[in-house]
Order: sequence, then structure tokens, then C-alpha cells
Amino acid sequence: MTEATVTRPITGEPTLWRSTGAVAWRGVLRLLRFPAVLIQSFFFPAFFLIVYVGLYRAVTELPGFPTDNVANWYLPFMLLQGAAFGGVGAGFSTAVDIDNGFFDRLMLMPGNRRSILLGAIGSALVRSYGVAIAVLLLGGAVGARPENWVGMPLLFIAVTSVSIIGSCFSLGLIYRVKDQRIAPLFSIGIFMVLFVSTAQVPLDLTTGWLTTAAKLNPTTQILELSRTGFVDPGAQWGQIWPGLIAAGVGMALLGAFADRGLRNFVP
Amino acid sequence: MTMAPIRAVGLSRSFDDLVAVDQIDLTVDKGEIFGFLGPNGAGKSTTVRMLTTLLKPTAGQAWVAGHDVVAEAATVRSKIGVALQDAAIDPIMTGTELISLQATLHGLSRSVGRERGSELIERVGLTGAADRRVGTYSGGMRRRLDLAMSLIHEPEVLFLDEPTTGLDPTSRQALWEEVRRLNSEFGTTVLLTTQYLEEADQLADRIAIIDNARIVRQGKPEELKKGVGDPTLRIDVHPDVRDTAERVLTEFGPPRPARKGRLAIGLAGGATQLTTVVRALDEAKVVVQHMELDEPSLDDVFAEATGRRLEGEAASPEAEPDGEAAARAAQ
Repeated sequence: MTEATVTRPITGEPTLWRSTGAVAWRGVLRLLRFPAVLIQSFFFPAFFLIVYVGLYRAVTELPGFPTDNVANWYLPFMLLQGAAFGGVGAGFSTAVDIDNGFFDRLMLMPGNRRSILLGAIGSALVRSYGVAIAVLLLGGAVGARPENWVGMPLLFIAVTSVSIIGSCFSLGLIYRVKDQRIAPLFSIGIFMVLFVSTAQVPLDLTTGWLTTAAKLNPTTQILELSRTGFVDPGAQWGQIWPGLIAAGVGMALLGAFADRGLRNFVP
Repeated sequence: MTMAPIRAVGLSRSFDDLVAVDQIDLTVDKGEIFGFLGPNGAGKSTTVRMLTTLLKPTAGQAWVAGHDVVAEAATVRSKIGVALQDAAIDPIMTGTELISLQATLHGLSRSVGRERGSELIERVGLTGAADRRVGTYSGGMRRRLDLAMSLIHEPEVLFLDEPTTGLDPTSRQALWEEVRRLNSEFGTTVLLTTQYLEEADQLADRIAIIDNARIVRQGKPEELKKGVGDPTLRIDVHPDVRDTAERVLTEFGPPRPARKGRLAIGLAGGATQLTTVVRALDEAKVVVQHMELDEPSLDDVFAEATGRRLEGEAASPEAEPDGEAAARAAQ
């Protein structure tokens, strides 16, 4: 170990946003260094999109189906699925950090520990956007075409909110359980919530328990929001506001769930 | 009057029925290197986690750098540097990236962080490896980087949790030198936990011996060793004459704990009595296979306090896990 000049005193005042940025940047850096984690988030939406577009073309001929382009129907759902899987990646990364002790280092930061949560959400958003762009390009390749451009910012809002909901759900769980073995529950939970909705067909065409479940499931509203730019009749306020409320309430509730988990992390 | 950099009163931590730390009273003075010595599972790491705000005490109170570890946890964290057990370092990142992250988390500006980071990297001898991913570092390099990261904000108090566990002798020496230098040049108060007697003896101004969640001895190593009294005589004999040898030896001092197959006593009168002992054993027809006389060591202090030897226990695969880990595993 060699001699070195030391500047004293060292002073610094950590701010929430700088710490958040640093934590998020680390997440993005890990993503760049280990892009294979993106493949996992991309694989399922891409696979389902190709299979559904190939197999279920006839579904659009059902009376009342809001589009004659099957790719337009399934693409927004697959985008949300990719966003959700990107989001739960925050929980997976945190589980690894807890397991190898790096999370302790983050918890030792003198500033507001909430930046650990916000930084994890930030890097999950980057991951979700990356997956969403790839799925969007794939959607274009299999024939999806926007009906109107007003729906594009709404699609962005839907993708963002589902990513945040997914990350907060997984983070809230891992902050409480502190064990990697909970990780499979992240995907299972997200999978169930996404599929028990109008993922396959519009609400009018669902039957039995699925109709009730899809009506109660706020994902249905967010999904409708995301489809605004891809189905007929397009951007209708009556279709938009329930989706915005569902997205807002979902983020607020799951955000509080994760925040509370982090605050109680130190046993 | 200013408060000691580390002070704990009745500090305790339980995990359900398991008491990991029991009523610990501790004062570490400014500029002191304080060694926390004990076997695996004694409660060392649990104590450090409480003092560094990573764990809440279930009873008692503690202050670090003059601030309550529960009520003023964020302020405490701004005053301390911590290098935890196992050097928790992200293997995908480079040394420079990690130290820069640490600087930002401690609120240093980009330029100060960069300057300070490169100073510390140089100081711990990692300049050549700074831009390599940490996954390619050796254990010693990771520990040195961990130490550098813990010093980024010039902490008043430095916690080192088993800093040399798993290191080769050269890396261990290098780390000891750095800790000594930090302490002598900057007056940094250091609390280090260790299960190595030599480490505590070499580095610490004062030590506390912890066993089964309680501090059993506390003081300067020399004073503690003096307190044990007479030097320890250890002999190996054939098992057939063991009882006879034991009977002879008890005439010269009280028995002391020893590893299996060996006899040990505190030899009253020290080296001057050695020939008398040998003569007595000879007269009793005891053939001595091995004999040694040692001045009291910290292991003797530990043995006197707990009835067990620490030496050898550290490497034992049967050593019990730390309290918190045990509690987690039990859940």
C-alpha cells in the first residue's frame, strides 16, 4: 500500500436524487454488462405475440371485436407483459444484492434510504423500456399498425405504470422476505394478474368467472388504456380515464407496499 | 465533556428465543483500536450490525460518534465507515465504479469523489486493477477495495468486521499495516472484530472477549494476560500414564483447558519450577513425550474466562453460526 495525498476534511451532503441516480445507474450498468437478463423479459412476450398472431387470426372475426388486425389486439398486452417482467427484474436484482451482502452497503448510505427503492424502480424502467422497444419492433414486423397517434403517449403511460407496479410488487415482497426463494412468486403473481383480464378477448366476449375476475382486475383498465391507439374507436375519454386511475392507484398502493417494506427492512 | 466515539450500555439483541447479544457494556475511546475477540457465533457481527444501524437492539442503548444508533441512525451512518464480513462487493462492477458509487452515496461531489477515490485506490495498492471488474480480484484485493470504499468520506469511526478472514498471511499483514496507519495518521477510531488471537494481540489497544453473547473480559491485552497469572505448562504423555501425570501436575498448579490428549496447568513459580516438575514426573515413572511452557496468551485469557480454547475453534467446521444467521436459518 503506497503513500497518497489526502484532502481533508471531506464533506458531503447526500441528496435523494443523486443517490437515486447512482443506484439506478448501477442497475443499468449491470444490465449493460449482463444483457442476458433482458432476453428472459423479452422471450415470453415475443413468443406469445408470434404464436397468438399466427394462431388466433380468426378471433378478430367475432362480432364486436374492436379490430380486424390481430397483431393490434395482442401487441399492447405483450408490451405490458414485457414491462411487467422488466419491472419484477428489480426484485430479482435486489434478491441477489441481499444474498451477497451488497444490499447492506446500500443500507449504510447516510442519506434517505428511499433512494434504494427509487433507484431500483429507475433501473427497472430502463429495462422495461428496452424490452418494450424490442417487442414494439417485433409487433411492427408481424403486422401491428397504430390506428391513431393519440394512443401512443397513453401506451407509454401504461407501460411505465405496469413497470413501476411490477417493480414495487417484487421489491415489497423481497424487502419483507429477504430470501431469494421468494423470487418465483414475482413472475407467477404478475402472470396471473395480467392473464386474468381482457388479455385474450374483449370483456363482452368473456364468459363465466373470467368476466367477473377481469371486471374486478384493474389490469383490465390499464390494458384498455394501452390499446387506445390500436383499436377502434380509438381515443375515447370514457376508455382512458379508468385506465389512468387504475394505473395511478396501482402505483400508489404498490409504491406504499414497497416503501413500507424498505422502512421496516432493518429488523 | 465529549462522548466516547463508541458507547454501548446494556446492548442486547434477541432473535425469537435466541439471545445473540446479551447486555453488552462497551466504551471505545477516541483514536483507539478496539478488538472484539470471540469465536464464531459469539455475537461479534450482531453487535457490529447494531452499532452500524443495520440491526435494531432489542434492549439497551448505543451511541456512535455521539449519536444514538436508533434515533439518529442516518447521522451515525454519515460518521462511520464499515467494511463488513465477506467484503460485499458487486463482482460485475470495476473498482473505480464501486468507489465512485460509494462517493455519491456519501454525498461527495463528482470531482471530490473522483479525486478522493483515486487517492484511496492508490493508497491500498489497487491502481493497476482499478478498471478491472471486481470479479477478477483476489480475496486480498477485494478486502483492500472494501477498506478503501469504507474510507471514502473520512469516517470518524471505522468498523471492520473480520477484515482478514480467509486472507493469506501477506495480505493480512498489509491490511494490518493500513489499519495501523489510518489510526496513527488520522486518529481514526477503529473497532474490529476478529476470531484471530494474533490479530487482536497485534492490532488492538484494548480488547473485549465475547463468548455466548456476553463480554467475559475487557481490557488491554497485556493487562488481561497478566491477570491470568502463571505461565501455562503443557505436556503430552502416553495415555496409559495420563492419570498419574495428572496427579503429579496438580501439585504444581491448577489445571487449565487444553486440547484433547494434552495436559495443562498454570505453573506456580513459572520457569524456576520446571526442573522440579520434570523430576517429580520422572519419579512417578511418567515418560514425557512433549513439554512446553508458554507465557500467558490471549488464548489463556479466553480459556480462563470460558473454560475453552479459542485457538483451533475458528477453523472448526462445527463452529456454530452467528446469532443472526442462525435466526434467519431457523425461520
